[in-house]
Amino acid sequence: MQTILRTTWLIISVAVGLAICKPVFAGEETGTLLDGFKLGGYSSAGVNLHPNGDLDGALNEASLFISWEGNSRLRFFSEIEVERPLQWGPGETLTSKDAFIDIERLYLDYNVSEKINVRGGRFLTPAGQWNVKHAAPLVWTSSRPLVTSRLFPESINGIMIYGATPLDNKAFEYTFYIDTLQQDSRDKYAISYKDAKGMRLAVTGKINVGFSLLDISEAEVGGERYRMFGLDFMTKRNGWEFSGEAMQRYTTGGADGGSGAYLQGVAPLGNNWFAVSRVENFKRPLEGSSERWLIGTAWKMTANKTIKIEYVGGDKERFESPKGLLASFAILF
Amino acid sequence: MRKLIILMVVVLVWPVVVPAADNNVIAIIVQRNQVTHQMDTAELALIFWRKKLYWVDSKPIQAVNLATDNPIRRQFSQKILGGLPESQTDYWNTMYFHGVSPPHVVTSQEGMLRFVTETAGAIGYIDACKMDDRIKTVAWLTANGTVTTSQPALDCN
Repeated sequence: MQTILRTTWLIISVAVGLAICKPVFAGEETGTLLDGFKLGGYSSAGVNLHPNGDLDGALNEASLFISWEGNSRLRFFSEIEVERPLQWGPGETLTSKDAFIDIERLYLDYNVSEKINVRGGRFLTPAGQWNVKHAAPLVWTSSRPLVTSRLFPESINGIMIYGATPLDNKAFEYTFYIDTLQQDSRDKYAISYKDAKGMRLAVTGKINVGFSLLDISEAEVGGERYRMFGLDFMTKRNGWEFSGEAMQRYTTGGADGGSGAYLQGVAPLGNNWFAVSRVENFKRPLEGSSERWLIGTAWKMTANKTIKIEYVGGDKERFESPKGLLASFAILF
Repeated sequence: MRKLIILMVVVLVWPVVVPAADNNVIAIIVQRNQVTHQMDTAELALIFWRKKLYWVDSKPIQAVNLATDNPIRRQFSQKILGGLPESQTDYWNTMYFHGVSPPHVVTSQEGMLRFVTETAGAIGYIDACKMDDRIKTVAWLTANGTVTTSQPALDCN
């Protein structure tokens, strides 16, 4: 507990320091603090008024990035995160009982050639698009579609080969990866997986379209092996944004192993306010099915600070997919 | 599930609107000794989106932009990257999340010439009429948005 609180305060202190030195991340780099090394991170806090009237809230995470890039073919990146450092709920005082420290990413990139790079370490699983940019300041809603986290592991310890090449007036991007070291998640609500190998192919341009393929085993009772197919897209124009993902898993015997999809739309309202709506469904053999709809708004206060308010409806509420009124603040620093 | 997939397909065929063009010819410049491939729009986009980080000779690519309000930057951004700089903030925030920073920024075309001259692996752009022999041009972005490796006719008066 003491370690978690100390780490949280360390990350918050670094965040405040960086915020003072560089108040707004405006998409422009004008210099580096130390040659090659960079620090950054993000944090978010939110409250949830549930349909039964209960109110709870949390400092969801405090995350710190450390990266290094020199005049060589090597690059380094790491993200250390304190998950749920503080929370409170009905009949509870402020507590850090569910807090834990997670090395979310830790990898070395080596450039082999113009179109081939090798990554070794712990990295986010490139299945769909939400998982690889799941940070609160980068997404439009406080809640996350179940299909983006429950059918595959969010991170993998292993090796990845990736690159990009021009294709007509677009880019073709590829990623192949294999899990070489299983590590159980410390998140008690996460599903443990093992022996992952997969790929993602994407064409990016005015419309981004991706195809994901993943072969994986659940590490829980039964240890069923699955093959997952996924399709995702995102397009953005004049403040409007449409995106979606669909995933379907099959067991090695050909039986349905779970599926899900979401479709999300964002519309500009003026003065950096946006309307957001989403529909989603999800099913997984061991946990049944779930349907959600969402309507909300997001205010981009600055390039790196966002306030989100949304109402989530649908069938039975579950911890990983809350319902009711959600509001949150997120900052990237 | 099926309805969602149908909706996704409908969105994918949403018509694409091409923005209006400006009128300067822009020179894409690198160090005189930099080895490069033949440049086209897609290659330049990969470099300035920082999805391609190394040259063929393994030198890190040092892409450099003019300031966001510079008309040359806005023309380059519109034609090569498909949008104005202010529409790219979400993209750069996402890249930042992955440890990739946006290109360096210089505040003038003379600053651009000096940066490219003095920085190994640098690539930038200036008004083609401002070219001099400190750097070499690897491509031209014409007024109609075409990237060409043959120097187009310039009206520098």
